[in-house]
Amino acid sequence: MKISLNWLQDYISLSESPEKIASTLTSLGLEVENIEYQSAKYEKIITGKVLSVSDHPNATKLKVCQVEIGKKENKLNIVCGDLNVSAGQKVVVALEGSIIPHNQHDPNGKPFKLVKTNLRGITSEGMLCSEYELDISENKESICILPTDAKVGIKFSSYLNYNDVIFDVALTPNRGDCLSHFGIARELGAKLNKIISLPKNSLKEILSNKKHNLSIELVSKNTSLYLGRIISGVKVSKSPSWLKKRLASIGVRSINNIVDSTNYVMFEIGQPLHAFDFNKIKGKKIIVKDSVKNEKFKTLDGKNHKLNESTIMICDSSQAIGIAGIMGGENSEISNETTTIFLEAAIFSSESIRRSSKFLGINSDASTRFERGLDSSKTKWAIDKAAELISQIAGGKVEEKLFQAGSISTSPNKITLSLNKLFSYLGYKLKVTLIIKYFQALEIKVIKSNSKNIVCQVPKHRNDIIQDVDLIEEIARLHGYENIPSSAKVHYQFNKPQSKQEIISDEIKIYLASIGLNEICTNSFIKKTTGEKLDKNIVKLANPISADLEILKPSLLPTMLGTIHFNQNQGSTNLALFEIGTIYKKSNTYKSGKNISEYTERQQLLITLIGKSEIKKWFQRERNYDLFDVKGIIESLCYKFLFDKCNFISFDKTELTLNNLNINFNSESIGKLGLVHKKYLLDFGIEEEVFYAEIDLEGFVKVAKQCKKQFKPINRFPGIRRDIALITPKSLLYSDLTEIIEKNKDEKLEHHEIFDLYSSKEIGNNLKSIAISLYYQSSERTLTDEEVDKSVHKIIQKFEINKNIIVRRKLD
Amino acid sequence: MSVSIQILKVEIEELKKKAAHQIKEIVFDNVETFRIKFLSRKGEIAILFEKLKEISVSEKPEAGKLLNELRNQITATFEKKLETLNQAKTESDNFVDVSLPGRTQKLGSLHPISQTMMEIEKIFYGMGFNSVVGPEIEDDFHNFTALNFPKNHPARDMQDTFFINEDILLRTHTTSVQIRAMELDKPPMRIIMPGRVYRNEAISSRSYCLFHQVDGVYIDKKVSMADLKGTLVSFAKQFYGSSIKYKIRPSYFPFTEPSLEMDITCFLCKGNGCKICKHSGWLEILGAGMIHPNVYKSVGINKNEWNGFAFGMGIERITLLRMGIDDIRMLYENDVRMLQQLA
Ligand SMILES: [Zn+2]
Repeated sequence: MKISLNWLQDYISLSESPEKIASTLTSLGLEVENIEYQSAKYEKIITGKVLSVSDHPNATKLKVCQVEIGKKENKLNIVCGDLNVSAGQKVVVALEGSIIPHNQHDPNGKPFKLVKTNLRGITSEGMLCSEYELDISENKESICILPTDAKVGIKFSSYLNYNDVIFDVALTPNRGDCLSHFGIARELGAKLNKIISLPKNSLKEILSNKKHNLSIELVSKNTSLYLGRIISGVKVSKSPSWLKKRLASIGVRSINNIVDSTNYVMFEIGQPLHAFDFNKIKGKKIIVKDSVKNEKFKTLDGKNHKLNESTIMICDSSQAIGIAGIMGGENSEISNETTTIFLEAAIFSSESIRRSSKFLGINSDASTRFERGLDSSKTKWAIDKAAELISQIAGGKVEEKLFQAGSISTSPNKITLSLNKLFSYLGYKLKVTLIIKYFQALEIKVIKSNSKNIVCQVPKHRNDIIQDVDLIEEIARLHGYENIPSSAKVHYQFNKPQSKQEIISDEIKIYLASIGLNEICTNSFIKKTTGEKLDKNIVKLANPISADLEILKPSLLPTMLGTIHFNQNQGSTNLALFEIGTIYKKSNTYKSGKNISEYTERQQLLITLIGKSEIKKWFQRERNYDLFDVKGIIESLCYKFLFDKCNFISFDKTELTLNNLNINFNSESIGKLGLVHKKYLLDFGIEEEVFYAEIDLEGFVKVAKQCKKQFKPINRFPGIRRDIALITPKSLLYSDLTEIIEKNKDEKLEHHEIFDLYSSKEIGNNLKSIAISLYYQSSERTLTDEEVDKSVHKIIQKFEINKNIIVRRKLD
Repeated sequence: MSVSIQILKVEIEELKKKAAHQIKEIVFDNVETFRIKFLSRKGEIAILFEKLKEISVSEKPEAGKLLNELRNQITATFEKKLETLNQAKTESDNFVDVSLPGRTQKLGSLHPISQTMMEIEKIFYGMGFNSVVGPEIEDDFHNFTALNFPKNHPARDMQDTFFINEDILLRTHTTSVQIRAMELDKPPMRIIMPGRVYRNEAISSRSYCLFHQVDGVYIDKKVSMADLKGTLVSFAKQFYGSSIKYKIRPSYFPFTEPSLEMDITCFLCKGNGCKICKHSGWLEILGAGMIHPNVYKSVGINKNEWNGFAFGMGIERITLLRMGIDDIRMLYENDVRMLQQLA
């Protein structure tokens, strides 16, 4: 909300600097986000006088002017495009380096910085501005001509009397009382210890006899007070310049003298008002009642609305003529022909206005104020002030009768504040006299006070003060938050253990990053069709930002693939990425979806590898990622966090993946890995192979909780290695061979490992050579060659009886 | 036919010269060529030895002696040469071009959001806070009503909400977890609640449809605003550096009363004013306050027995500021070049 310093001065005398005022407001919780100095608007733009005009030697559409700016000898050569420019005219001159508010040649009229330019051979030392360029009117055709008595050589801002300072205050929704200049002045007065005053209303002196009659019927329960006044004989026209200027200073467009008057009073005191054309009110009757569902209504901006039920409507004897607190109707709008107006000031329920404003999608200055709650003690002041203002600037007579329905609610809120609680909250003590002084400054009436309690009565405009803690904030605010001490005392309290999942999740991230993977963080939302390919239990948003972000992702894969594609487009083709994130599904118990137990959220880890694992370097050859890279990462992860091997069980390809392996640990499935199906990749514009591993983090953590780090004594006896080489069909699995070893080994075999694998013409088509080393070791003694040979022989025998396996040679 | 010793002597001298000349030319590659040419069984020295047969008996001993001398001399020179060559070869073999680049490891990285999150968590763990998480798909009660956001109250406009249906929404703050924690556990409690939250705002360089938050709650007996300030100042100094200046000012959150916001001196311009801090010299880093009595009421905690404070901060904002990124969308684009830069 914009607040004008000049305007504030109507209610409080402020000699403090604008910066001081801004920091005072901020310290009160009324955060000033920006200070705008009007005088800065026309920096380096001054008034001037055209001395002479001549034709441009090289252009028929340009004139060359000599312009005086201040002292006689201060002359500028300026090329001008307005051919009507003539000697003697007072003009507005922009000097080199000035910021012109609007660029005439820019479709959006953006501001631009003026530089010295050469126009067809003649250097222009400035520019004669149009009213559009100066942000005064829409006139782009001719340059701005000032009256002949305008002083030459002064700042244009001084010429306009632009000396105001505008504060942009970010108001929190609890402070409806500050949505006006008077409200802000009241806060400043309390903090700066100054007297504030509302200008006297002198309406009484100008009231005239009643000529017109009207009746008000209050049907809606959502309206507590409805006041009205009739002003006859008005002339609708432009507002006087002081009013236009005031409204313009806070960014409000001038409409006509009637609407401007009601707006002015609203920004002054916070009470919204509405003016109807009295002659358009049928039956001379105002009925305030709630709408019925699907009722139709055309607002004064020409838009048709369908209403929901219980929108408060202002109606005459035959139809609705305005949506209360939100916008008037086209059928009762003030026009240039209007001579008699009916002025309305009312208190509508905050909740009701908010509901209607949300439903209709109309957010007006009036509705904002109603939503935040009004001070009903100022409603009469406001309608009288507006009536007086209208009669002053639009002529007309204010008729003496004040129409009223409903009443001002009278039940002031009484709160008892315990001093003990106050001090314990603040962490410091204050003198009771000081507390009472703060309360008085805030117009909070102290009814009773003793050494333990203070009983207060809250003024009407502070509807945000409800409980004792609200009073505590008021005291802290006025005393200054900067005076709260910073306590360093430690409250002793045993720690509960941190959740395992949080810890492991962070450790996995750190581990994967340390082995060269890049962590990514992606959106939770994806396209519906993308999600449906992965899961049928998708969770859909009722109000997505766009159709592309309509559902919550049931897997991390889509956004991962999106990230891969993005990076490929950026020229990064070798990627090792991971993400730990939440996936969202409807649960098995899903019925109406009205309870959060009908949804599941699980933490997932997704790893993908794409492109080259190694690129060609002076010490290495290049190599593409393959399945065993991703498998290896998972094996390492299991060793690191579960301290043992995991098992992999292959399963058939799915719609979306190939070469799948289930990752099992202690016969619990913790995830899967494989190759993402080409078909699915093409949806994301990816042509390369993408290897993936997906781990259910909750499953992984569950397993991890059961695993313990356990030291096994280091074997000090030397081991013996025996290598065997086998030729088998290509289709025979390595796991089939290790199974034979496992079944026929004895306790001396410590471990075994494949160390060579190849196929060649010499070996034969469809065959491969596999070399496996067997490590024998005993924890009790040094083994002999003989006993090892015997043990190896037993395994070799089993290989030999398998007709698919040829034992090529025993390697020592 | 006989060969005079004179001729032999000439031939010996010629061979000597030839060998001496060629031995100079020897490099590692043509060692063998030289050996074959001069010293092998069919080499030039051997050919001269053949001629011994044709030398008269009386001259034979002298000729033999000369030939032997020739052979020994050439052999010796050759071997010496060989030794020098071998020595040179070892030297070149042992030469290491230390200017070659090293075998770097692949540059993995934690996402900037994770980095900030972990750092913040670590500080609060050190102050005795525990981490608690809760669902992102939430109901109205935990996200709003229990936190003293009445239905149809303008405070709800502070947070544009994504809905699944009328009753279920995506949490707009992790403060909802505070309610869940209070329902499950009795005070005293000292917890932080990190997580992802959602706001239905148009995606731009300044805002995204989601972000991450760390909220915190401390409930005990006689917790004061001074304790709150102490905790926040301690956090800010650990996280932003002990030399920062700070200021706290009143603010409004429905679930706290009194409420405050904390600003620190802009660390980009050291408080002199820059574009990022809108020329104020201050950056807003968090919101906090004393937990509102209505919140205790909604979870059945006795407000006269317990009280405490809550605070919350946005991770993205902090991350962008600290890392000098000016577009929030970049955090979710995951350009690996950026991720590796900020590894
Ligand atoms: Zn700054």
